[in-house]
Amino acid sequence: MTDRRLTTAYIKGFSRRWLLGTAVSTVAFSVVAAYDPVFATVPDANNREDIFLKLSEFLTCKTNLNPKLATRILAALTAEDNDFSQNVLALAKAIEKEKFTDMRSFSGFVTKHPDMKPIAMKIISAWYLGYTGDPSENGRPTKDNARFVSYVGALMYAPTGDATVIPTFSRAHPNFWVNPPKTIFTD
Amino acid sequence: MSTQYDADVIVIGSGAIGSNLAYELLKHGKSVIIIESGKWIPRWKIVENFRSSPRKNNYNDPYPDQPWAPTSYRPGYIENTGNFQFYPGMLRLVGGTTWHWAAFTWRLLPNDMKIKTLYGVGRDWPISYEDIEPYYVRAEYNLGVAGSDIEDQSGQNRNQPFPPRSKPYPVPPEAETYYYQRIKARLGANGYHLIHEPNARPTQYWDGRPPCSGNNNCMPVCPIGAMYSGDVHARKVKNLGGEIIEDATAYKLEKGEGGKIVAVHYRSSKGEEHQLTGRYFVVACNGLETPKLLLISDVANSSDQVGRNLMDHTGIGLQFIADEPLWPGRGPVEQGGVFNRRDGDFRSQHAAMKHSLTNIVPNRPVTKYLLSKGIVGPELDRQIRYMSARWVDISTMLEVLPNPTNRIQPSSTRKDALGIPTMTIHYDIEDYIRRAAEVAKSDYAQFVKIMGGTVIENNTGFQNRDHLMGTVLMGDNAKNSVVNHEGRCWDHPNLFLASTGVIPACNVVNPTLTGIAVAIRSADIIAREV
Repeated sequence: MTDRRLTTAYIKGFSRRWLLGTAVSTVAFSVVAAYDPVFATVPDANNREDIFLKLSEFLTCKTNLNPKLATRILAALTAEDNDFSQNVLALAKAIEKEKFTDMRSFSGFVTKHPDMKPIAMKIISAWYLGYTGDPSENGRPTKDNARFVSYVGALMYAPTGDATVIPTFSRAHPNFWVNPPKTIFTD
Repeated sequence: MSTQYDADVIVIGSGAIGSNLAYELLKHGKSVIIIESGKWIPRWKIVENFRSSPRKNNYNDPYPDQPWAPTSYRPGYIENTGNFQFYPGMLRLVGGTTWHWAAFTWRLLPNDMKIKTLYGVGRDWPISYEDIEPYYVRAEYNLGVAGSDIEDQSGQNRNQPFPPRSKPYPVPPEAETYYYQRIKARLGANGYHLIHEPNARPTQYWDGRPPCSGNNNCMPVCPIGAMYSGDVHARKVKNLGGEIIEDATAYKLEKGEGGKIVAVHYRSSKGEEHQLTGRYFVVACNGLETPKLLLISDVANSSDQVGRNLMDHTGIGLQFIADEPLWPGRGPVEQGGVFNRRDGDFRSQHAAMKHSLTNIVPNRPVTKYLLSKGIVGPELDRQIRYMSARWVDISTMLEVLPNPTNRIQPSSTRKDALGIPTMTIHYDIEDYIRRAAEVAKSDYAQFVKIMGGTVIENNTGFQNRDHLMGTVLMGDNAKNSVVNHEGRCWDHPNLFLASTGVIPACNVVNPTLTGIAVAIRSADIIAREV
């Protein structure tokens, strides 16, 4: 119990700079601690979700991810794949082993650990696209394993939030579209 | 003793075409009952279903899909046997599939109605453009169409409006998006004719609907009800005293003396069986369900053409990144396209085509593409913005000719929850459109070159376009067509078909307005007789 409280305290103290800096291997250690029965007894759900949130923040290079969405993604990916927890653990161990601290060198990391790329991309995709799995599409009417995470919280909309709408929402008035966004000369 | 009927006219199907026809009959003072396999669903529920779905590129997904009223995407509902997987997105609810469409409301060209005469291919319509023109006007005013009164919509650059109109469009077109302006300027300077697509998204308040505000979600649902959908006229039917029976799936048209239809039999979701009698019957269940109902009822098929000649505007697509920020995604989901090849003598050799510039907020395909390339971290955010600003998506539609072997049939082995056969479709891609696809790809190469583009995808393969035509086609000969120029079955004097399925030659333009115009014409004819 003492170890787990300490781990949680560490995680709650993370800052963006710290995450992207030298202490990322501690993130990995924390994940290991949460998932690996060798390091800790089976942790409580809140702890797992908190740690998954921090791992997500590392993988997406964000500091302000929504904890409720982390819970949803963790549940969705676990439901999709019974081995998800073990795969996360393997990813965390690989991060720790490589002392991988900067997602800008992600390609180098996955070149060394190609089997880690799918699990990392699953987590990143869920945050950016707002769903997990492979959803059916027009003209492809199959049963699927897709699970909803978030619509407006999907990270893919943030980079264009000043220029386009999240569909179904409106940003102005009829015919606003006759002009380009104000950023047109710098985009 | 005179025969008693449940209503003057029984209409099967409450979509845009059936509801417009019923509305016109009610205005003529006739009594009408519509039966509909689905139910009324409020718009807000569909919007919330969409927002909370992971399947945002599955336009049927926010809508009810019940074992007793399956959408076309219900696994197993459609079985394909041809070389193309024919899966149009068709719905089951009051208002029908115009709940999700881009609302393009085109007229055919005069030449489109005589392609056999002019180009030696396909079939001629049994009526001319002049015959249908007044009904196009009525359909446009029913729907509140925004269109250009000055452009040559044939794409042939005549420098005058075309085709001829007896009345201006109800409302002017929306302002051109910056995206459209830039592409129009650059492609236009190289000989491509970009034409506004008339659409049922009013630019001002129209008949209780607000103007389009660019929510950019025409498909799968307009959240504010600016875009026309068939429920508009379903409500008008009720307001005029017509009845709409929900949860009522027709499974049999009953024949009586003199070739007349005397009743329609239907089942509820609980399996309860009912029947309705009428003086006249109209089947308006879309281009697949209409022939299916006729075939399982063994009616209207002395020509052996029911279900045959299935046509879509089977198409291909292109995505590329332009060399300047264009910012698609501001405004409605589509606005115009390249129409140089809408008409011409080449149609004797290959299909006509239109290249539509879609204007859908591209973040999802852009992000999926970048993730597939392993792009992560700050670079992912940067490239999402960069590519979303420059994303160009072109959706091409090709003219398909009627071929009797392309057909829909009731399944001989599978049934839905009500015990009604599902469907089997055989649809082969033919050389007429394969040749056109090669021409389209040569256009694609030019588009990319002119726009300084980087190709993301230029070989999509053939794609569904969800325009169901030909399956109960109209003609001037009872031996080789299903209905006459009135929309009346050759075999049954009191049975009309109101569907884009009556279209025998389809050009490259979205067929719903033509279906509604023909149905309004049918309504006038029925009203004179009942």
